[in-house]
Amino acid sequence: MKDLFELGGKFFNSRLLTGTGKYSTDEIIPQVTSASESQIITVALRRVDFDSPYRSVMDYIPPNIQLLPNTSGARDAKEAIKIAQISRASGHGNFIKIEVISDNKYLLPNGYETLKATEELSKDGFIVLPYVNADLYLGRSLKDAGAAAIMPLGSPIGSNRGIRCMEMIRVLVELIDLPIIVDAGIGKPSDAAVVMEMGVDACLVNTAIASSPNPILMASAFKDAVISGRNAYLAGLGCRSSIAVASSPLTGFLNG
Amino acid sequence: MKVTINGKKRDIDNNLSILELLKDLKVDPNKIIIQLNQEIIKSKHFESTSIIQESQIEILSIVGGG
Repeated sequence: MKDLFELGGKFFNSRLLTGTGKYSTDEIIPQVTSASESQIITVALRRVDFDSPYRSVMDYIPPNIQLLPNTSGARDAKEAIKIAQISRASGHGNFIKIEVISDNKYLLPNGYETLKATEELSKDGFIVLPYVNADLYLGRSLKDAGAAAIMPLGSPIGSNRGIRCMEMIRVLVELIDLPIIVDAGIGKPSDAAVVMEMGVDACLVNTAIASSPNPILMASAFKDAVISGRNAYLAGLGCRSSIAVASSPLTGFLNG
Repeated sequence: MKVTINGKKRDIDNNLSILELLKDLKVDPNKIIIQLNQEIIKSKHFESTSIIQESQIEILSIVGGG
């Protein structure tokens, strides 16, 4: 039986979500998408800068991809709601990653404003994916507010510092009955594999791929890591012991 | 007439349609999202929608993001 990832009533083969920011050139995005086998891709919404030439990143996103616009740039719930509504009204679907940030040094998400936006947008028919700190009570409140998943950060956005709040993410996996998608801070494929082994449902990776000297190969490495970690979780990890336990029989030795 | 485009005040010709404004700004109408006085304008209405004095115009596009 196929191990499909269900999100917002849709089913996906891939559990690796990828971002489209920070590439040296957008032209590489189709190859990265292909190598990652990602089926859910994040984008952002910004004012056009008339002083510099621009091209839409949409030109580089392959068809049949689930678009996941984010609300980056929003400093409170009101701004996040506005971005979500513009995104949907302009034909970019009803999936939305809520990102509400007003701290510029660590870019940590504001849980209170994120919850307010989640409540309103869920009622309005959006598939809401809130990006938050790994906090159990906030996670429960977001579920009650209608979130489709919880997206805890591993470490600050773009830092590539890995999973710095592993135990708190573990609590979400155990106690929140929603998909848990680790977002932000995943710096290398082994970070993704570790959280997948633990039972998170998916990972979102951008900077670690985009800032690699070889983004296409790195995208492929992340694909393999996520599959590997997921398979390990499904298989169930072997038992641990504080002392050595021989793998070969301790009888029938060849003496002399 | 005076309007605000992406947060900046600008002087534009009277009775411009959205499509004409985009041409003046050298913006490809197929790759942007227009919000006129808080309302999204669908691209098929760019030609028939006129801009009035003091309008607030947001010209947005989808960009790379995580």
